[in-house]
Formats: sequence, structure tokens, C-alpha cells
Amino acid sequence: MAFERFKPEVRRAQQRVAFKDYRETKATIDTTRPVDQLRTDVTEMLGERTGVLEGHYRRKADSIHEKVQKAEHNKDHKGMRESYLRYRNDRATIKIQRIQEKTSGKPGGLLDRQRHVSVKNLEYKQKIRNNQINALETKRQNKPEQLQKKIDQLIQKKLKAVMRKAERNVLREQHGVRKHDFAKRAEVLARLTPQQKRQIVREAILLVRRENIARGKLDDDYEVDDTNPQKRDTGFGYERTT
Amino acid sequence: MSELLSRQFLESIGVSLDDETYRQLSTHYEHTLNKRVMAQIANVLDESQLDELSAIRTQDDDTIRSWLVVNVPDLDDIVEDEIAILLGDIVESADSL
Repeated sequence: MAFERFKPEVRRAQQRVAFKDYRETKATIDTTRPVDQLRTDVTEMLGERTGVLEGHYRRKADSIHEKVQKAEHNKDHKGMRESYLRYRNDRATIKIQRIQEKTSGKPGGLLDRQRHVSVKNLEYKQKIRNNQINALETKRQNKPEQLQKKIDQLIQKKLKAVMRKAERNVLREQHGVRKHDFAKRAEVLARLTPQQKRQIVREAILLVRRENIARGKLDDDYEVDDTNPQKRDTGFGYERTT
Repeated sequence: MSELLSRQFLESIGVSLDDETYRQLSTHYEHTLNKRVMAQIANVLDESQLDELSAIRTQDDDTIRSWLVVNVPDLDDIVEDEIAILLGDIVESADSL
């Protein structure tokens, strides 16, 4: 190997040789010479092993040697890229398996749990609704027959009105008629004061009543003396004409 | 609103109220009816009509009436349906009034 000389056993052998050289040199050096000259003499005799960079290069060589050893030891193992790819494939497989389990509808799976919760929720809602209907029906049956008839009539009327309203809205939306900017509509509505809205609605109601009177189809619920309008204080600082 | 939600009507569906409660109820339902009818009227108007409505809002009753007749073809249906729905709501909740 390229760094054989830096192996510990080699280095120890070198150190033994160097120490032997040092002892022989020490026996031969002239101690009467000045210190700086003595250092030069020793360097000449012992070589560069006594240089200040010896430790630095030794550590560097050791580090490289360790890396090489590790690389040789791991040469049969897969690298990071291979490991990552394998991990990614495994993750994808696991994900697919999980989704398949969830959507398989097996007992305890996600779909099964969701279905169970939905059914439970629907049952609960149905139970509440049934209770409400029963309570209303009980109250209705406790009322006089004439009152029952009146209530049924008004509720039927409401249902028909709701149906007509829904039909109008659906027809308008399906045929694309009157499609416009919803934000602008909201803005215009917001600009109208409550009094102005009341005024517009009042005019609309009066108008319909007049038309109904003219057509002779105004029923008991819409009784109004349109020929003799009078102003009434309805609170909140405004009056209305009836 | 008084004709729609008269004391006679409320008694006919089994609801008897004192003066203060009746006034509050009348105001509440008048406000509700206004809101619903206005929303429906606004639904059938296009952008230019909305601008016109906004412009004439301060004018007299006759102008508004004429404008409604011309620009809201389903006005009678809208108002009648909203009143019927409101009265139906009142009847359905009569026991909790």
C-alpha cells in the first residue's frame, strides 16, 4: 500500500531507529557549540523526522489509511444512492399496500369504518327527525279539528311555494338566464338601506295584492283594504302604508 | 305585515300573544320577509337592472312600483311564494312561539 510507511508498527520501528540514532548522535555531538548550531547539526544527523510537520503528516496519513480500510471493508455493500432507491421503492410499495388496504373495504379498513360511521350518523339523524315528526304529529292531533285543517292547509301551501321557488331557480340556472356577477348583486343589496329594502318589498306586496284583487283570486289570508291606505308606525323610525 | 300576521291569523293557528311579544314577532317576520323577497328579486335581475334599482331607490313609490312591474316578470309569484313560505314557517313553529 501507498501509506505502508505510516502504519503504527512501521512508525514504531522508525521511532526505535530514530531513538537509536539520537543516542548515537548525542554521544558524538559537540556540546560546546552554540544552541542554534547544535540544532542544525542534529537535524543533519537525524533527518526530517524531527521536523515540526511530522505529526501533521502522520495524522493525515492515518486518516487516509482509515478511509481506505473502510472503503475496502464496505466494497461489497450498496452505496447511498442504491440505499435511497431501495428505501424509496419500499416506501412506494408500503404506500400502495396501505391504500389498497384502505380501499379494499375489508372489515376494519378505512372504507368499512367510514361506511359504519356514515350509517350510524344517518341512523341518528333519522331518529332525531322521526322524534320531531312524532312530536309535531302529537301536538297536531291534540288540536281541534278545524285548527288541524287550517295548519295542514298552510303547510301544504308552503310546500307548493317552496317547490315553485325551486323550479324557478333551477330553470333560471339551467337556461343561463339572468346570469350575472354575484359580487355586484351583493354589493347593490348592501348599498340599499333596510328602510329602502322595506319600501321596495312593500311596494311589491301591494302591487301583487292589487293584481290579485283585480283577478278576483285573493283568498282570506290576503285580506287588505287597498282602497283606503293608511300610515302606521311600525317602529324603528319608519312608517308603512297599508 | 299586520294583515299577514294579524292577531286573528295567529289565534287561528293556536297562538295567543301579549302586545309586546306580538310587536317583536311582527317586526321579526317583517324583516325576514323583506330579506327573502329582496334576495329573490335581486336574483332575477341582471347587472344593468341592479344598477337601475340602486339608482331609483330614493325615488317615490310610484316610480319603484312601475320599475318593479317592468323589470321583475315573476314578481307576483315571488311575493306570493315568499309569503306562503313565511306563513308556513310560522305555523310549523307555532308551538314554540
